[in-house]
Amino acid sequence: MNNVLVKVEHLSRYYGPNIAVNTIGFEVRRGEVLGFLGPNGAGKTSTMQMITGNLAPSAGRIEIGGVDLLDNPKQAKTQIGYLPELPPLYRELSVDEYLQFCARIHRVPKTSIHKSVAYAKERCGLNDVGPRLIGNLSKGYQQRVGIAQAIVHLPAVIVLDEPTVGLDPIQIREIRSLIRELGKDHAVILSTHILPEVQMTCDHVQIISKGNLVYRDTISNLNQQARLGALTLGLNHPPELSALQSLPQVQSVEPLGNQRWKLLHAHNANPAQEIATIAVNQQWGLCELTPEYKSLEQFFVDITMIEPKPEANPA
Amino acid sequence: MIFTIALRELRSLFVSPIAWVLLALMQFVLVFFFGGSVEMYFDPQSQVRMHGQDPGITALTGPFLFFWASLFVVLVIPLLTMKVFSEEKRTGSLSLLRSAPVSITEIVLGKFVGLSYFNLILLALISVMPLSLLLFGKLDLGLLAAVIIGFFLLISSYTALGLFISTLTRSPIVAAVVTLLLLLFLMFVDLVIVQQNSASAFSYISLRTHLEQFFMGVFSTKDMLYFIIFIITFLILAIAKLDYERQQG
Repeated sequence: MNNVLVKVEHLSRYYGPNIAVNTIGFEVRRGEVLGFLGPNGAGKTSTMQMITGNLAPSAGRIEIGGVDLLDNPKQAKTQIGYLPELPPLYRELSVDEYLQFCARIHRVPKTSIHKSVAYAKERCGLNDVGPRLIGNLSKGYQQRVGIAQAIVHLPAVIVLDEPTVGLDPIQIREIRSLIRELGKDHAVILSTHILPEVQMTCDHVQIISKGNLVYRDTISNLNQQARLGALTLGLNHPPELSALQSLPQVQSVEPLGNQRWKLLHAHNANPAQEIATIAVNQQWGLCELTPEYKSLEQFFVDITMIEPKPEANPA
Repeated sequence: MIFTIALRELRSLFVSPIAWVLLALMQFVLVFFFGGSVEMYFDPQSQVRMHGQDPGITALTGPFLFFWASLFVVLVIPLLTMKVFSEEKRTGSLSLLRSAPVSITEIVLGKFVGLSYFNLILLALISVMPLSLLLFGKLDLGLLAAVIIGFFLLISSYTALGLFISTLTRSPIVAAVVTLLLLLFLMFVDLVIVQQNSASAFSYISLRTHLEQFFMGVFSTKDMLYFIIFIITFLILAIAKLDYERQQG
């Protein structure tokens, strides 16, 4: 059995005359976390709604775990867990009641409902709030209940639409690590418009723009491409500026103040390792060395600009 | 699946105060009508006695009580059905059901059954009043059964209409008001437009006229069919509307 859990082919969606999703196709395998990037209104949510059966496609095919979603919606949907942008919660129910209901409508066998709910709560850190009403929980906890809802029936595919929006930094970190963990034994599709989020949690990435899939690659390749050709260097015992300028491959140095410098280097080089070695050997008190990445905007603009002529390679 | 959704619906109704308040108010008001009708039976001066007839206590209390109840539920049902879909659309919880392996038909039927559970509770509370007379004497149980069945068909029809209206909007208030106006119209068209020759058509539309046979103790299959077709029509409309949303987004 192959491990392609989501297979999308020629998927299109029109809203009246407007095209929201234009013949996109992709695959997600077990153990992959796919980051689905794009500015607001690019068609991320429409695509996710189609994969989860909330929206009928205008054209195209969707297979979930080898089952055609359009021909066999019930069978295919048992393998999907979906967290929409707004977590679909019944605020008047307690966490336990709600998760039991979710397990039941996802056709979890009666005998294992209790176990499934306990597993989902454990996984999402909800053990302390089981009897509490969802409406009284904080936003972060509600978001976790939303994720618990998506995993309670142990689906093969988990689809999360902007799962970290509106959370505080600690909650964001927890949710991201939860997603990475889920990615080990499920296929996870995660939509966001935050590039670093994808860099931190995903191993594959695809970018959608105005309904078209404009980029698809692994995260390590993305990191290569998104690198700006610049490093931020922080030193506690800095040498003369000229010493920094003579570092290998460094083309110019901009002081950032506070004993930090921005070192510009050739776009396709990565002198970080050499610089680190030199800084340590010379006892400059190395305290920061960070490659700079483009923001999603920049990266996105670059990709859409390069796209028509992929062979051209401006150094 | 249908019953899982139905039980969830019923539970959500009863964890909010609205179901309790409505049931209590309804009972409080109707008990006066019931008391009044019992009193009427024992009043030697009452109209029915003076005409030399004796319709019996069941015929005096049952239809009278349920007739007033059928007017009150015009106010009660819209408040119960308003949230069913509009609230789920507003909060986004409808997508939980949509992405679950259940069909739209099952969702709509589940909601309808859930509300029907509530209707049964309401029906039981009202029926207890005339049935309490059994402690003191005999009742025409056949007549009472016809009245109760007619009343249940009527509130099920209200519920199906309210459920459909609730799929049309995200605002529960709008759903409640529209349902209320439509129910008032459907109950009283024949009274408002009585002079025209087309009165028979209007009286055929009117939900109230279909109740009359039941309230006279006749188990009228013709009228029962009317209610059942009414219910099925609005359930199908609700299913079609939700399916249309999936198609059109």
